[in-house]
Amino acid sequence: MSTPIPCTDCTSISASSSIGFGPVFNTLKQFYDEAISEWRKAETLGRLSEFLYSIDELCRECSIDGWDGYDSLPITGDACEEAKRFVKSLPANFPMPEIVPEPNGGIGLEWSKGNRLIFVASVSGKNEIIYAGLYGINKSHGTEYFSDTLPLAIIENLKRLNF
Amino acid sequence: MSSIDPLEILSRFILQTNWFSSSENRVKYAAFLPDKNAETSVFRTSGITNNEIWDIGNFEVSIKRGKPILGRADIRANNVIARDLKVVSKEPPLRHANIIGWPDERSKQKLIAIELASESNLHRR
Repeated sequence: MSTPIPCTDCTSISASSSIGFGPVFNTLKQFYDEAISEWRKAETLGRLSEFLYSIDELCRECSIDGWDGYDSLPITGDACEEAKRFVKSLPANFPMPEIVPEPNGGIGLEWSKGNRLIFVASVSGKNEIIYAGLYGINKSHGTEYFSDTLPLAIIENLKRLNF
Repeated sequence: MSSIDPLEILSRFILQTNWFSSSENRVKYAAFLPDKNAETSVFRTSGITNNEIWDIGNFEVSIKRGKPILGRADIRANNVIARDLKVVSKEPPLRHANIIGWPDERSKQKLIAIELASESNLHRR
């Protein structure tokens, strides 16, 4: 006999190790963990493809001079591809950023928790990441070469937002 | 107009949807980033009514640029000056000014723009 338990927060159930014991429980838990893991992967991929589509949309919208109503430069295809590469390299435990077109033709990726906890990394198709962060009264900024993986400095700055 | 008073309000008109957050009611940094001439265009809006400010946006920015004004970021001149930037009057049009003196280093520009955005007030159209 079994008693159904409403699952309102599957993540916390999957993380729990004290709701049963014995070999049957272990087998079931393994199945359950695998199912959760697959669901997470699908959710992440779904969000990622939606996000990549948003970058394409933005690039179309900002592909002409003066797209901001002032004197902005067009966002190039190289900048778009680099923004996508950045997002694909992002560890799964970080949330997706907001996309911010910049007047110099770059694409900014912004993570924020209110007005004074903000990190921005931007790319413009030149294999470099220009970043700046505001963490209360603390600040950081710099430039990192962007090769195959995200530079450690970017990951460390993102961690300062405590996601 | 006379030289810029540190307590003056500067208004930056926003014509790009991704330059503000409606849900968080805040301006995003890109609204303050300098253009290719290393300037950020603003209007000096102290002492005039809210409607008059929107009129400036409509007639001097929106119609000329062929894009609707979506909002504006208001900031005091002293917040700008505190970052070693300068505000210089550049008329016509009346009340127009530019924020100049941006550092060459782009990451530093970005940081200053983040700070200015965090100290500005968003007004939606």
